[in-house]
Amino acid sequence: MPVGFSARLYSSTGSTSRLALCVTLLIGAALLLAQQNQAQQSHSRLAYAADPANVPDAIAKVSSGQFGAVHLEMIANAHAVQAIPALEQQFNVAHDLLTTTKIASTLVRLGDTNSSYWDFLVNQATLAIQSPNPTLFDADGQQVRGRTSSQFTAWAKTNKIPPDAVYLLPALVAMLGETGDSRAIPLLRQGLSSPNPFIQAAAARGLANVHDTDSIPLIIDACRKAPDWGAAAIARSLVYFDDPAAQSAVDTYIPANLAKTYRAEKTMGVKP
Amino acid sequence: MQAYRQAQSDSSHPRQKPLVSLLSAKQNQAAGFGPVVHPDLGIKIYDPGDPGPDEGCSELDVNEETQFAAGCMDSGDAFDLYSCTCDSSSGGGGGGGEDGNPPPDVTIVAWVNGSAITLPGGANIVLQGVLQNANAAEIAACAVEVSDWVTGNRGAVITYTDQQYASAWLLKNSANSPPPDPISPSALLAGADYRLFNDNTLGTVVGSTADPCKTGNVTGWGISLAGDYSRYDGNIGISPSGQIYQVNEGQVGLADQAVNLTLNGRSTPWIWSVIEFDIWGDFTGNLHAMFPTYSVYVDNNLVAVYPQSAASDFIAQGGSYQLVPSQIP
Repeated sequence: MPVGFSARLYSSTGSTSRLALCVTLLIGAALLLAQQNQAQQSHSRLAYAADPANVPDAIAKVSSGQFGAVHLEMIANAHAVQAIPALEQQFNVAHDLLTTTKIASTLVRLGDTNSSYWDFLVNQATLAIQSPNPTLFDADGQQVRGRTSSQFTAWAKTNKIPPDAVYLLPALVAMLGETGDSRAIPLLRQGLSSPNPFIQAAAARGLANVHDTDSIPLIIDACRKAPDWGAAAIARSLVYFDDPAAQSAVDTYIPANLAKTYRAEKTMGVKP
Repeated sequence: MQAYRQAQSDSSHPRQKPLVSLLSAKQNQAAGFGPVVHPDLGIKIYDPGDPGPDEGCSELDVNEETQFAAGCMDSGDAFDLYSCTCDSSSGGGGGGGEDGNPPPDVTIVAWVNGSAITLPGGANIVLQGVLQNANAAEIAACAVEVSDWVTGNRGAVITYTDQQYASAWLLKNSANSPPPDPISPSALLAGADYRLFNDNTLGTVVGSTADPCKTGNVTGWGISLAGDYSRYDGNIGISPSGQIYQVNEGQVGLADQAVNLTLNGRSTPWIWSVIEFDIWGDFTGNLHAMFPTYSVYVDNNLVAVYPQSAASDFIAQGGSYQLVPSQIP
């Protein structure tokens, strides 16, 4: 656009054409620099949840009642204990399972000693760990696509769990594990025996988060019994143990490119 | 007479024959036939100034009216609705356009065009490594990562570029197939491969979002999460300029909204399409959101495709990006 415009405007004489060319080149260079600058800013600018400057916004969101799990996670990571009163208030009025459990997890992470939050977390994780296998198999032992097992469906109905529980349940275990509280170890070890590999993986990550090296053989055993894809998910937790057996199992159960990614993730400071 | 001001409802989907019903009745009223009769349902629509109702007519209860109007009537266009045993000919005949033909069947399909989404460069290699779905181990890794985002844990998303990459990847990998030309609206509806489905005969539906990780490929579980209906979805009314409209509006489901909030720090914008007819039953146009792609069909034939804006521009709008029926000109 600037080229065509300039060419028409200054086509009468040679000198003005050269002037137009110079102006056009300058504009082009400026635009290029602006684009590069914008790209650099995108690469250096932090994501919303990664930017500590957004923690006050997260606290304000919780106080207003218009918040999500990400705000709770940011508060927990920043150990923003000033948010505890607002969190306690929201725990009493939250009406969906995910939000309520995340609030309880956040309060425990912030050091709230009210046992009701811990008990709530344990109850939800126990519920998930005791859930039956959601996968439906046909008479030939093949998975049936797009449906869950009748046992799982009946269990979800009995426990008044929402229809998308199959995706929600591992999160209930994960939110117990992310507290880093060693009281969770026995229950998380039970989680390694779940028929759902995603629940097993969540439990294993929780054990890694509390640095429970005694659980390494149990995690490796769970990998051995799981389907290949499940083993890869469970073994991710082993990346976080500075232990030869754990690291060897990582290379056994996780494809090399993915193992490299997980190890890089640990180096980046991402939690289990 | 009691004029019903229909409360907005999001109770049942899809709704049956909503806009066609209202259209036929309004056409008759505009043609000066007085209290008008819907040809199929035996419903009379009285202007508040009209005498009536006729003998044999009883006031519709709210549920019947919900089925009939399936949306909010603007307060300035209030009708009094009666269910009548009288013959439809007593009210001036059935619907149809100015030329007596029935209004066309208009379908607007909103679908995510994956080929139009470019993954931004510069995202960190860990994020790119966990967002893969080519084999079973990658699918599991992806599912764990996305599950973390549901619970507010950003994982490997560190920079603004990362968050844009993750958002674009999720959209690209949950894209829909381009709807064919021509279509069978009922077959397209049953196929459920769309974000929104708006049809003046079949009603409105908010589609599911396919699992971008393809988790079902390894677990066998269901592979999509239901979308979230707007309170305005299925809304029918008459705009200030006299257009009869039907709104189809929704957004991704709660889990996907949580993911968006974790990645982008913003609530999720809405998507919508609006079918508009004039008083004579002629299709006059449509309104739609900036995302995704909208394909417009008249009598099953494609007449227009409106490409989607950049996903990042759409996401940046946040949850206040929504069409409220009162905004329809």
